[in-house]
Amino acid sequence: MLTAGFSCSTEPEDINFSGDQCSLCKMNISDTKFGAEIVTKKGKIYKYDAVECMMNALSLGNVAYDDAAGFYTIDASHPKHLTDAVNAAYLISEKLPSPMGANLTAFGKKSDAESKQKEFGGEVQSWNDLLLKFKVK
Amino acid sequence: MKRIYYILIILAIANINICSKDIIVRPGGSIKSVVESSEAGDRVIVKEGFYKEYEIVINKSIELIGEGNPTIDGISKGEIIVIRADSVTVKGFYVNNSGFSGMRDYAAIRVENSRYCTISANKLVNNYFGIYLAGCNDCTVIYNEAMSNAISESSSGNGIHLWKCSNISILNNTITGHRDGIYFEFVTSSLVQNNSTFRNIRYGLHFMFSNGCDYENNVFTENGAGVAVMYTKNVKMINNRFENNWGANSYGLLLKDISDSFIYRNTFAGNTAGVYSEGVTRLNIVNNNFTANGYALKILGNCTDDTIKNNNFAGNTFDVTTNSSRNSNFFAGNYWDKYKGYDLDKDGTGDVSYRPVNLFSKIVEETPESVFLLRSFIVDLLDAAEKVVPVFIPETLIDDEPSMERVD
Repeated sequence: MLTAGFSCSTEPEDINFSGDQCSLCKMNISDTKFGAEIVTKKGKIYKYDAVECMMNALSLGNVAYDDAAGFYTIDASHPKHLTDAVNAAYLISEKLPSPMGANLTAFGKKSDAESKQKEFGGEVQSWNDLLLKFKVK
Repeated sequence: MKRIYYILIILAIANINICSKDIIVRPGGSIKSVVESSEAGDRVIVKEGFYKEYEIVINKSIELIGEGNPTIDGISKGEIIVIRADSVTVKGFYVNNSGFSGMRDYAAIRVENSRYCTISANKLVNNYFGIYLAGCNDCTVIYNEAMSNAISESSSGNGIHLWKCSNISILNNTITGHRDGIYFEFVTSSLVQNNSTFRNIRYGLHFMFSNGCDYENNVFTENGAGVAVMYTKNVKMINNRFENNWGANSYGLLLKDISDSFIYRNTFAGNTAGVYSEGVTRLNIVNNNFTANGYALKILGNCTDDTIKNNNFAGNTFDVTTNSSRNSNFFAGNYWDKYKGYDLDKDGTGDVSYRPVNLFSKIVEETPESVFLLRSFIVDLLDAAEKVVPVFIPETLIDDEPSMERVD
């Protein structure tokens, strides 16, 4: 147990939706369909209330992109559950406002994003599309 | 020819006037079907009683008036009243039990893409969202009460929620038990006045990307995380009270990326942090009272060109804290109850400058746990040593004209 405490775990940590604060915008993370997390190679965890806050933090250089061991996002189909953000699909739809104004909802499965796209309209984008959109890389 | 036109127009107007009528709905009747069959200009008057209805869609300019506060119970099925037309009035109802959805923001009263609507004197109990305005201009929300008994942030929506609106007046409303009391996103040129929000789960007032709005004479008390305002310019906050917002991430007023704004004559009392500001520029904090807060004013190193003038700081554990050894903000003419200087020339201004940041507050800023040393001998010793040989305190964070007495 002791060694586990000291070693650098790069596993993601669940977001506490009634206590955790967004590292960027300082808001309490509350909407269980949204949220994101960066785990650095040193095991430091940054939590965000929305994918757009994670992207903005990367874009501002608050966390260096190359220092990250993993990027995670809440899967809107499974509220509160984190999924790999790099392989997630992102629906940008005016009908689905997200916490920080980017109208961005993340789905673990692309098929989920596409079925919501049929219902609400909008555009499905990939992780790399977002990196360009938010000028991260 | 022109004359004929005029006559036609006059006839048309007269025609509307003749046609507009009062339609009465009594218990047992359906508000929804009466609204559907009504015509623009009509008044639908609902008599006192209990109506189990939802998805009442108003798509023409009518007045929906409750007499004796009739109750519309949405039986948790969806939205209750939806307005999609200009110049609609909804007044005098109890609207209870909207639906709850993971994906959709169900509201008791929703107004979509409309102008000149008035939502007044309604009581909204136990809804997901209370009043939700999307894409609206020139509307008024007045004398409503919204209360929810939600227990967690995620199972409750906001009391009054505005998205992409302009020229809206939110006046004399009371909101409690919701996620955020009043929520603005992409709202411009609007007025929030004489409202009271208390014991909401997250923020009493929360706005972002909402330039040019004024907040006056509101009271925000005992909200889970206080009030948060972010990513906005040209904000005016005057005569509001931010009180008793306690907790680890709780602030009387959280300012994040705010510029060219004005905070005047407000009271910050009994908060963990009265004002927390990060990335704030050209803000005037003038004539406010900071009383009995843990931290009165936390001003981070990335705040620049702010003016903190003629405020009263009394009974706070820490008056000003910062995380930087530099300061690019201007402090003057404030009253500090911890000031120990003198005023030999009796001009009301202390002859010795005052530095409101002390070393221990810097230590607490970096290591919050060290707060347990508060009021201990070692801390007095540290602060005394720092006074003699200043090393850590920002040199320019100084009030050169501290007021000897409270400023009115």
